Amino acid sequence: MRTLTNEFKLLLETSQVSPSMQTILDLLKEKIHTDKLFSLAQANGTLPLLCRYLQELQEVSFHKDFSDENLHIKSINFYMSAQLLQLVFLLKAKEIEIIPIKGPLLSQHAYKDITLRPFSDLDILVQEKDLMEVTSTLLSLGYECQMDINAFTHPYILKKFTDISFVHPQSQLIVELHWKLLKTASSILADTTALFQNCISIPFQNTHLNSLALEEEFLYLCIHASKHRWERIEWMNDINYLFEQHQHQYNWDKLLKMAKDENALSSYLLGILILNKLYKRTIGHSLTSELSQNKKIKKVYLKVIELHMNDYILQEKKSGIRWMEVFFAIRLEDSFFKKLFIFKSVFFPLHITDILLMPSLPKKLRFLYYLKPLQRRFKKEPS
Amino acid sequence: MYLDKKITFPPHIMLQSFDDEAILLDIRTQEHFGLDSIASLFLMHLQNNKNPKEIFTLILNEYDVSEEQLHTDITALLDSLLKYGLIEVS
Repeated sequence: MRTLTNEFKLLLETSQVSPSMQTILDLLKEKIHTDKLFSLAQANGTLPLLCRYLQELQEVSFHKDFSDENLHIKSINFYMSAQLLQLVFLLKAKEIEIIPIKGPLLSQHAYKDITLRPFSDLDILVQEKDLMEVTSTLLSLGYECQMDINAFTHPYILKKFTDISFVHPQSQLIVELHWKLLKTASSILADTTALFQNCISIPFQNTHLNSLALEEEFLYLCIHASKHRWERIEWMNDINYLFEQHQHQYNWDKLLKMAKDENALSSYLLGILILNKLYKRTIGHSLTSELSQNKKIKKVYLKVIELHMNDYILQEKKSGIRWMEVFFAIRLEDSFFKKLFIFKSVFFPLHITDILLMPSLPKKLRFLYYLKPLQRRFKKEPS
Repeated sequence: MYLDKKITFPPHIMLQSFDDEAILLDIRTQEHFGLDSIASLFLMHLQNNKNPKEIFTLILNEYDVSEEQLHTDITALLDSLLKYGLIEVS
């Protein structure tokens, strides 16, 4: 039977909020492949946490490459945080509020430090009414949008998609502009106006930024990580560090109800099971009972662990449909309609350009937007 | 002298430590300032809401520096930060 590798165990131990230094030292005495540890730490987004403890233990054998890369992550995070603040201030001057999601704010909120969690882009949530103004602000800062910005005025694009990316040609910094959190959300997470009404203010450097309400943030992170099969330890760490900060503030009954309303109970319970199994977090009676009733969660959890045992994250990914990912998503999905939606988006992925290619169609004719995805599928054009 | 004052950073200022040093960045002008280890330590503690007197004593106990020298260095540091609008003193 396969077991977890020493490298994974070391990353997991250094990811704990209060790791055991003795366990780290014991693991370091075991056979550790430094190159593999480095690659895994990078891919899992846990290099800063690993370095923190290696430095503390003065493990000089690892020091150079690890600390160089860690310094690189710190610099990028600092730069990106500055870009986020610049954008927030510019928009505030125009009386536009945004909610940063993931990225620097999550790093600060969960880890109390913008440098302890790598991020590669800035995700911001805006209300539909502000999309054009935020777009023009991004363009004035030099960002470029690959898409025709008229996309923001197209009702079907606003309905079917969640975000559009902007790239800064000099820095290559990507800003993902979201007007919705999730494609298929059915309750609170689909209602951007409500998310703005519920948002909280949290300290960030020498100012405060909007953040999703605690329960909404937690559920969103579970759904997002489940969508990606919890392939990165950083996604597990995010909810663990948030749990550490706010376990007594979370309204667990409300969270459970939200997860059910959202048809995302399995994604949420999987996050809870990960907290319980990998981070030894005690969970309340109602969650224990939900977990015992949900037969598939333990199997799905084992699937996640198997991915980490096999260092899936380091494997080269083939292009085309990744069936294992599709099956995982379908298995975890609670709603039948959402299962169908997964199939539809895998086989006939609709792109924004598919819609922009055609004139604006009335509701009854919108199925015609799928002609291009159909054509791509059967002509085997790259999707 | 600044030790009895309340010192804060304006919202447009970012301060981040990088090992023993730190960088202070003015978001509005995109100007950044490198700080040595003692300046970094002083400002990082300030950012974490410690009062200047407390930080002064802490550094005095931790570093091999005379009280007079530290006083001069900290005053010079805060004078220049104030001049560039990087801190607010009340």
